[in-house]
Order: sequence, then structure tokens, then C-alpha cells
Amino acid sequence: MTLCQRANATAAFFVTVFLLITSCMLMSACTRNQRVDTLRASVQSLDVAREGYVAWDLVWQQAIVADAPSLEVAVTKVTEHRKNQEQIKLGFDLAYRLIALAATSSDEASLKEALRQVEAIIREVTLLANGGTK
Amino acid sequence: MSDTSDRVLTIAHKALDVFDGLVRTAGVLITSEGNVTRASSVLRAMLAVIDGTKAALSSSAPAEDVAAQLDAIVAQAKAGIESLGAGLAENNAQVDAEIAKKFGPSSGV
Repeated sequence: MTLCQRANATAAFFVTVFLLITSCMLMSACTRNQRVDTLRASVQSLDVAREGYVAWDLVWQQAIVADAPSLEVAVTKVTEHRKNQEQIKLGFDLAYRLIALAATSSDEASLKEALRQVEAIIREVTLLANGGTK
Repeated sequence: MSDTSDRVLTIAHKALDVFDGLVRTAGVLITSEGNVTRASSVLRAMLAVIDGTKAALSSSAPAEDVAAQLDAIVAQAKAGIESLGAGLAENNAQVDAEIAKKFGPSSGV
């Protein structure tokens, strides 16, 4: 299995994580127990996506280095990738913080915003993993 | 539990089952290549999450446990932020080392 095939296998994780998140979105409900279940499923889904992204990120960077014909190309492409990596990191960070906020609140708006951000970051890493270019 | 909630749980279980199968299949593919401790640990973490999520979706929390469970969610979110930073820093360090190995010790990002 090549590095890119491995990256694609990792990308497949994100598709199913997104499916799971869609299910979690449907669970947003008004009772406190359902709120707990929704937030718990969401944070666990986010953990899965995070692990998948970190695994994909390493494989992707290694592929960039393996394919690079020169030091300059390797450094340029890895630097460019890490700018994107920083944006994804910020997206995850925001999603985790919104979940924590929703867990310390009881209003519908904070729950919806947390779920929206969880969905957004997983959608973003799914697109990245499926369409990234070295 | 309402019909809607039952239906949501059914959907979530189906999604988890699909995810479960993919992870296990990918695990066989990756590890059969003789690859990487890292892949194994990631897969183990994913399987643990799946088992935990299934358990979470299968039970409804008693009211007196709700506050504790919300605290646990906050703690899990904080741990997630820290784990992401550590994981990406580890990736970057490893890739920097691979660049140095391939192009010479004075290179780096």
C-alpha cells in the first residue's frame, strides 16, 4: 500500500465520521439527558475525527517529503501544508471549546452552535483528505 | 422514549456499525503491511471510541449523574485540544527529521 493509498484509507474514516455526526445532529433535543447524550456522542465523534486527521496529516507530510525532488520543494510544500494544518487545528479547537461551553450551559443556541462547528470541521477535514494536493 | 428518539438511535447505531466495519477492515490492511505502531494505536483508540459511543447511545443517564457527565464532557474536550496540539507537533518533528535525513542535517522547515 503506497503512502497515498494509506492517506485515502484514512480519508474514508472521515466520511463515516460525518455520517455519525449527521446522526448526532438529529439527536439535539430538549431534555437534559438527551443533551448529555448528544454532547457526549459529539465530543467522541470529534475525537475520532481528530485521531484520523492527525494520522492522515503525518502520512500526507511524509508523502510530500518522499515525492520532493529537492530540499527547496520539500520545505516550500511542507510549509504550505502547515499553514492549512494550523487552520484545521483552530477549527478543532473551536469545536471542542463550543462543546465545553454547551456542556456548561442549558440553552438551545449553544448546543446548536457546538454541533454546527463539529459538523463544519469534520466536513472540512473530509474535503481536505479526499481532495488534498501535494 | 419517543418514536423519533428510537429512530435516531437506530440511525446512529447503523452509522456506528458502518464505521466499525471500516475501521476493522482498514486495520487489517494497514497492519498486514507490517506498518507502524502508530497506526495500531490510532485504530485501538478508534475502536475504544466506538465501543464507548455505542454504550453511550444505548443508555440514558440517570438525572443525578447528568452534572458529572457534563463535567466529564468538558474534561474530554480539553483533553482533545491538548491531544491535537501534541499529535501535530509530533508529526511536524518527525517530518522535519525525515527532511533532514533525506536532504542533509542542516535542512529543516
